[in-house]
Amino acid sequence: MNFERIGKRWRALFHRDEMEHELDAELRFHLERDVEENLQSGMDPEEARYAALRAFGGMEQSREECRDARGVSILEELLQDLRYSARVLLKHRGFTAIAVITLALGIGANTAIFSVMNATLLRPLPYHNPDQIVMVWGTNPAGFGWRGKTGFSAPSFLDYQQQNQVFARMATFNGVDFNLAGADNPERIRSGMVTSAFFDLLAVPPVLGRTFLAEEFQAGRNHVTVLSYGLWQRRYGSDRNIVGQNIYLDATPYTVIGVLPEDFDFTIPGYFESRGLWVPTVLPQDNSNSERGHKYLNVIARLKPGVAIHQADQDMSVITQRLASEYPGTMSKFGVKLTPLREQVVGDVRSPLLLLFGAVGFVLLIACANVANLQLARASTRQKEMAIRKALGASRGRLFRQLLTESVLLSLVAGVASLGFAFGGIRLLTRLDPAKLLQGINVTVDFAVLAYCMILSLVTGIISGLAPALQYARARQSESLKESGGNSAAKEGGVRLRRLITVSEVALSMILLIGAGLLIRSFIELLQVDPGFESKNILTARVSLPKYSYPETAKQSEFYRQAIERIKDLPGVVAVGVTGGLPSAMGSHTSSFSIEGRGPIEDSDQALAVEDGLASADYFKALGIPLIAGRAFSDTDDRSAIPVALINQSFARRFFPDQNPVGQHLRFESKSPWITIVGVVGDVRGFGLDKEAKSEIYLPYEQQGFLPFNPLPQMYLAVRTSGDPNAIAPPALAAIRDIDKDLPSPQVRTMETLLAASMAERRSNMILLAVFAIIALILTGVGIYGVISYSVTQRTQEIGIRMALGAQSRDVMTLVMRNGMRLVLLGIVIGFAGALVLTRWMAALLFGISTTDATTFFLTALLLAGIALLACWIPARRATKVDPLVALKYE
Amino acid sequence: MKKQKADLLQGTLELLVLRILRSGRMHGWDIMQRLQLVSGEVLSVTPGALYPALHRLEERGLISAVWEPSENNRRSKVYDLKPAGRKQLEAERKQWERFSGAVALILRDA
Repeated sequence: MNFERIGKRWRALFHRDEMEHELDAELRFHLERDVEENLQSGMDPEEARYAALRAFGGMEQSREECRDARGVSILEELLQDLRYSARVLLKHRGFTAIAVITLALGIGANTAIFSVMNATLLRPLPYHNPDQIVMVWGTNPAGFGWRGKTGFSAPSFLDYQQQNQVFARMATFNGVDFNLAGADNPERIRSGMVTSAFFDLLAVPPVLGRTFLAEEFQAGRNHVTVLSYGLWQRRYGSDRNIVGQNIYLDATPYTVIGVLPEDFDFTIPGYFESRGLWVPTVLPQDNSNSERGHKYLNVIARLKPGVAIHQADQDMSVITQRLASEYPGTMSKFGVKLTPLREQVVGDVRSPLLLLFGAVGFVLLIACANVANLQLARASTRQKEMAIRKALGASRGRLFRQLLTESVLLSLVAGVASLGFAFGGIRLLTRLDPAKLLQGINVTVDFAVLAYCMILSLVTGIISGLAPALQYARARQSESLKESGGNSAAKEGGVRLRRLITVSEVALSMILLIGAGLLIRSFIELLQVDPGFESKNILTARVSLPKYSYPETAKQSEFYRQAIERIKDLPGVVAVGVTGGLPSAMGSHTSSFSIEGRGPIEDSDQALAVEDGLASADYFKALGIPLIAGRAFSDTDDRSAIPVALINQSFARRFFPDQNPVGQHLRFESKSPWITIVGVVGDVRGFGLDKEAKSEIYLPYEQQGFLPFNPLPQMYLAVRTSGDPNAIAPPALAAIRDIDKDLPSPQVRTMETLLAASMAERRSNMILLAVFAIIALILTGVGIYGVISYSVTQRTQEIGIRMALGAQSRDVMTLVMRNGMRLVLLGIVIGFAGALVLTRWMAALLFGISTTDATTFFLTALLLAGIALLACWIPARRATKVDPLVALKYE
Repeated sequence: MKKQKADLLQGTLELLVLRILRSGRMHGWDIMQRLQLVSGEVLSVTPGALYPALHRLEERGLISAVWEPSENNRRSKVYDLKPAGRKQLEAERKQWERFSGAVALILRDA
């Protein structure tokens, strides 16, 4: 019974022709029998036929009723509605084009942002059970290290590894650079050093060969390497026989034991980049205090199944307390922080992405509002059509359904068109990513993105079509059937609805504009920050001296001495300096030290925030860092001279608040001679313009021996030029090659590029939000224009009467403008309120201003009001041109 | 108002069709002839009303239909009463009798 019915419906739906054919056959049979009867009763054929048709009574209606009886009306109606909608949309091409473009822009922007979210926030990491993997950080109260976090020292890593109850595996990873020797192109390869469990922990099977064995982490057996897929392809032409062969890293032979899969990409944005090859880390078997204080190992761990992260946290703090009492000198302030790997990888993009996601949501809502307004404006022209359809028996529900179908069809077309915008948007987004937040993340349009796009289109169609459809369907047919009858109730309602939509539109774009305005203001504030040096006309070069050809510090500093000598004499060079860390690209090094006449400033909170490093005599001149007191370094401050140091103003303020620091002494190690402070230099914002300057100590690079660590193997050259710094690059590189032809070519960038890179993330957020705000502004302007010019058309007669009664064109202008600007001002006020609530979430993205920055609020409101004024003025001007005579006849 | 009248007529028409089919299977034209015969001019039923009624009854599973060869080498759709239709007819007949009895009673008293 049931199956029979389903079968019938199936037939009805998909074999429409067959059913129609049967119905025809049945009715024809009846007619023919009638005709036969009539013929027998003596009528002539013509007459017999007419009589039969007459007797049948309403053939077409009967046919329709028979179809209805089959009960597939809703689907059939849907098909009918779709066909009808397609016809309507094709007929009104102008309307359709504008609506489709508007919606496609909104949907496309949303799809693009969603695709980035899909690739970052929503996609699981490409490891087995990625949610079990955590990053294990060391913390310190002074907040030094990368984002206030450090790694582990080798002995404490081993302690945590042995004593914990919660991790299935723990492993360390660190970056190391090797010179990879080749026939004629030595190459600097960024490489990773890992401990034994690393690849097992991530569960990465090699595509070729194997990963490391446990015994390969012992000194002497550790000269093995696993290649990344990219390096294997690029450097070795995907040679499958590479496994077992030796390659030379820093002139030492390493046996290739395996190749990693193509999609393996272990990147922690901003901290650790994917590497070309991997070698084993040999952990020192040394439990000395100095080894325990050297916290450099980055640690990841995999939680045991069923262990929650807070349980692991508790377990860690138990071990931390034990170690703190055992090794109070080095471990007393040490803490452990677990961060899920996923959070570590995508955490940075979350808040800007959510902000942009909110912004495009607003843009889409404004687009919906505009299309709804367009449809409402068409109400006047379509009211008659609706009335006729109603008079012919269409129910309200049916009209409503049909109108909604039309709107949904419109937005589905826009959805398909939006994919073009989305693809463009994705390209723009991935290119606008100089902050490398999307590095290693593949943003694609996959099934989820397509599904999102289509569902969004459907919802958009319903949202933008609901109000107009309700409006039409509610309109009373008797009134609408009359020619454009004055102010029908339905029209009144329509006008009110359109005003409401306009106000919300203005409010939404006000919020967006304020958001974008706050980011722009922050960026301007940032640009006005004095970095403490002059970034124009500086070329920088990052030099890495390989250990095998520069084994001693004497040889290392000799290289820099020669480099300075040669580059200094190049034409166009003003000054040359070397430094251990450039502003904006500074590596952080912190040591404890003591000042003569005071107790040693131990590994305490305060001292930890002091950076120390090396510089050459002309470094400060090259960067334009001012000398505040005393003298700068000179070429005579070499190995044999008495040790000297420069401090910056922050340091002077902090440690010598009411003393002259020049002439004071300090030292890093208790047995070393005292270092004399010879001068004070200006503060430099070394870690990005949005961070305060740190306290710094500089030593001459040739006196590196007085520092507790050696930055010499990796230093920066800074060259101040009189002209374009890029022009100096080729001769400077040639000069370096002259000193050492085997040295891999240093990485050369201008200081301005480095500075821009440090602001890249802010810039891209600002640009994106500004683009969305401008789209919103344009859409809103068009929306206001549409509403006001429609109301002018509606009120032509009224305006005509007013003018006939003596109103001046200025009065008319005021009338129309006041009408429009009232809506705009209401929208702005609501937008202000909304912005006060919403911009609070942007606080972390701002710099130098508060989330309620009055200037931004005021200026953006002025901008929006200006655009709105223009949008009202055009139709208002048209209203003043109304000829009273024509207007009165118009009705 | 107009619709109610149509409903009433429709229900009645369907009842009559079921009654006619109880005496045997037949095609639409024959049913029409019978209808005119039994109802005469009282219920002026047109084929235009009959066929939708037949389709509705078929859809409700009260009658079945098959295409069969007919005279003059034509095919006609022949309807037959199904058990469910038979039951429905019985129920409606009873209800109609009760209803018409009640109406008759009221009218007699009036």
